[in-house]
Amino acid sequence: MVDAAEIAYLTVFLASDKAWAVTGELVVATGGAGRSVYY
Amino acid sequence: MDLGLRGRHAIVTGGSLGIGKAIARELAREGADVAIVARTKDRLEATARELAAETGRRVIPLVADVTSRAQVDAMVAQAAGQLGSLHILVNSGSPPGGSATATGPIEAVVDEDLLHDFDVKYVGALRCARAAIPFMKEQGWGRIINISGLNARNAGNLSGGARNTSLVHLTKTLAVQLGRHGITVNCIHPGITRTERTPRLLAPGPPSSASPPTTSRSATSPTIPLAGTRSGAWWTRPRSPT
Repeated sequence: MVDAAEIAYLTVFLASDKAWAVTGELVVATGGAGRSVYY
Repeated sequence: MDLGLRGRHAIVTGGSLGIGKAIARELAREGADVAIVARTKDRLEATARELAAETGRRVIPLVADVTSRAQVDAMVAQAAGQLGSLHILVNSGSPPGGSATATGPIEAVVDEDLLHDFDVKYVGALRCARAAIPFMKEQGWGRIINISGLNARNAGNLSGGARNTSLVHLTKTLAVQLGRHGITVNCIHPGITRTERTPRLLAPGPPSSASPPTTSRSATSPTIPLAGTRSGAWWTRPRSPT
């Protein structure tokens, strides 16, 4: 199972200067759960 | 890589526990000062003291109900006033899953509970963003992150799943509206996530072979939990590929 801290690491990156190029996006952080393919 | 968060000022709704608390902790560890927001004063203040002591940053507890525009507006103004400015908003202020009376068969849905679920998560995030945006525009820099949930992609939950999908729309629409002001807006779908509440939630009936996790996965297993959603066994660690 994914730990809350791992959601936090991703959030902190998106909150940073370094994430300038990422906006309007959806990021899934489940450890790869499920078998559906999104394209 | 220096994330450049030292000296930034953030609001984290739902920051007193769960994913929100974990986010507030990491922001503070990276050097940000953080206002955490929740309805329950005692727990909020305890978390603020804990995170401030742990990180050495300012962690300010602000009591507010995100279903009230007046309370949200006042909370954001107070956060920006106390911190000096506002750069980051994390919307994590909603219990996962949705009301029990709004997640079953359509015949059983209680409209008021369904609307309340949306009022908290979708309109709550909208209210917080609306109040925070003027401060971000002022400095031409801002970050909004909406914590949604993977059941947005799974049919079956008329409240929790539907409102998570609505947050994705909010995210893109705000990104389009705010990009020219230097503000990015993104959304995260966590799946089933271990928090301090997890052992209690698992308590009613895990299979006898499994025990609830009590430590960080990263501390106990290098395995990415790809197979982690099989019904009734989602907290077990997958076998290594052979």
